[in-house]
Amino acid sequence: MSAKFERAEIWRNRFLILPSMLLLATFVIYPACFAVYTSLTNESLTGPAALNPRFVGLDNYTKLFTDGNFWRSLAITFWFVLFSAIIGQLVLGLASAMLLRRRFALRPLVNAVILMPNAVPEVVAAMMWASMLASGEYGTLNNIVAWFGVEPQRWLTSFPLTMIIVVNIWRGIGFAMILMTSGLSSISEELYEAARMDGANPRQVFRRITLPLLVPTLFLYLLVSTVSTIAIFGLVFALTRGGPAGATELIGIYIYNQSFNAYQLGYGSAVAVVVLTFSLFIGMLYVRALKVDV
Amino acid sequence: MSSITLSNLSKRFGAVDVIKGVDIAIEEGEFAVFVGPSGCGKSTLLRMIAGLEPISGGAFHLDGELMNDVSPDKRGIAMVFQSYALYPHMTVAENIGFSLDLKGIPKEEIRRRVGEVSEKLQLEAYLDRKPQALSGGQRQRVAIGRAIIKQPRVILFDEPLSNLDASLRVQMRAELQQLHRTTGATIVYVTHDQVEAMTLADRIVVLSGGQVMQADHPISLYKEPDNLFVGQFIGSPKMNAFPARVAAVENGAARIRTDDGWEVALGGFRSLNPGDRVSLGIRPEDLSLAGTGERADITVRAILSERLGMETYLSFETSGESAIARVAGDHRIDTGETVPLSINLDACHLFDTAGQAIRRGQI
Repeated sequence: MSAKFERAEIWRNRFLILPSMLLLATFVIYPACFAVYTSLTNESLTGPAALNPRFVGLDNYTKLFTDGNFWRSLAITFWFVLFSAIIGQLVLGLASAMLLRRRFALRPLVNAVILMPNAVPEVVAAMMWASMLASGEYGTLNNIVAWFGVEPQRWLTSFPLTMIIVVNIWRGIGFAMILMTSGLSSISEELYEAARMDGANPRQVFRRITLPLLVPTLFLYLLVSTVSTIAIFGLVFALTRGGPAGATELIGIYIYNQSFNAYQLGYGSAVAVVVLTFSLFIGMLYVRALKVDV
Repeated sequence: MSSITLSNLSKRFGAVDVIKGVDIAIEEGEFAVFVGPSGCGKSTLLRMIAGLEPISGGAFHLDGELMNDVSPDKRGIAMVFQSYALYPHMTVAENIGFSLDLKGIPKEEIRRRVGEVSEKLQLEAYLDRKPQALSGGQRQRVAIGRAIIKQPRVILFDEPLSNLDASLRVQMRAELQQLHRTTGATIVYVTHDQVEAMTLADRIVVLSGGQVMQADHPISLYKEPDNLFVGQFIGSPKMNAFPARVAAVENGAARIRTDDGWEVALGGFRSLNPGDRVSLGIRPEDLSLAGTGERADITVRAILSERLGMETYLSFETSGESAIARVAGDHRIDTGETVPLSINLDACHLFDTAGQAIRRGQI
């Protein structure tokens, strides 16, 4: 291959990635840089700072480290991500993917039921769950538990974090299942047969063959789901607005509340920048883990 | 070391009969090869022996013990898969020792036995490697190691050499023969390659359409095929079959006239009647160039000649069917040239209209 041809090839490839670079620059990199800039000012939606925002250096960041609500929100987000995405969706998604590899009569129906929550717009989903979890005798869940003699509960007030975790698991199983299905189908049937000939029981097959060979898929899933769950806003905001008393104030909702309810754009931006850095760090961690194992 | 008996064994997938009542007996320590064209059911039969496919009907006995409903790992059978099916996340040593590890055998014992097997298969240098860092032949040996470490009663091979290049195949064939000699295990081997079948087998089972066409020693199959299918399947290039009719039977010799009009007189066929329709089977190697002054049995017009150096494949056409002669030595024969051929009459075969062999001396 001549050097000239190679150079032309390089330029053509650059040209091909130009559209996505433009989109990324406009809608990701520019806003992110702007948020970094805003986080260094006292930009606000009302008052004198709204007219003349001032450069305040790292003031917003020092404030953030002593802000108990920020740390509480971060902790809520941590538990939310851990129980809904990393444990709930993953375990149930993998279980349903394995179940749906078998042939049984209701398979298409079960498949549709698992995938359906993904097809519902998140605000609609939140409305459905609001009705499901409504307190008093009209709540669907209260009607169901009444069959077992349980008193009506105020689900979203008594167990707010648990409830949003349940709702998010419900919504995310489908995606986890699709990814796990693709991971499982990449494992050759002959390996399972070889393991059967070697005398492995179903539990040993899962632990010694399926799980290790699913590691790249698991990491990919964890990368995508952790980062996207940290960023969840609409579903939970529409259901609880972060309440009661901040019990479900995920970091995304906290950023929104600080920026648009407390009008402190600069401070909200600082929180957003911290979360961005954090997400990037997690992403890098997973990507590195993926590279080692693939 | 164990004997295998398959009695009226059948396999049905939905409405499709894949194996149609197969009877095969394989003796202790025998190297049996199942051979047949694609889709003949040979791999299915092997998987039924392994326990990976349920048996729909009939019985499979191993050393007299009924095995139909015994799980694969309890049969004492090991299998080498076509794609080797090595566990990609395990090292060579872990792959070989996996079955022992599952049984809870102490690590020290596993290490010792893996060491023994890997020494036998010359894999000591690769024990810490993962399968993807091995060549095809090495992977093959790991798969064999994984099978023999279990000290199985029977080892099954499912087209194990099909992924290797030609020279490696020759080498692995020799290694498999060596393995059979040293372990003395009963081996059942599936292939569609008849050279592998001929060189490895003590007994070849030729399958077609889910039925056994013939089971015998390789040379017996070659010399005395039971039917036209076996005659044409064993041997390369395949046996020529000329549509013909019995012209006359005189003194125990039958004069056979092909539809193309040429005749041969074959001794020993007493059961034939003039007018019977038959197929005359002549192997390409039983046709040779008639030398000058020698009487030619037939004269044919060449369509194509393929010069391989030590021999020449000569394609010709008779009564619309193409046929081939495999003549010794290098000959330059042009298309359209007429060529005199002599036939080794003692090696000719006759088959009836159903394709069954008519034997010499048969009454």
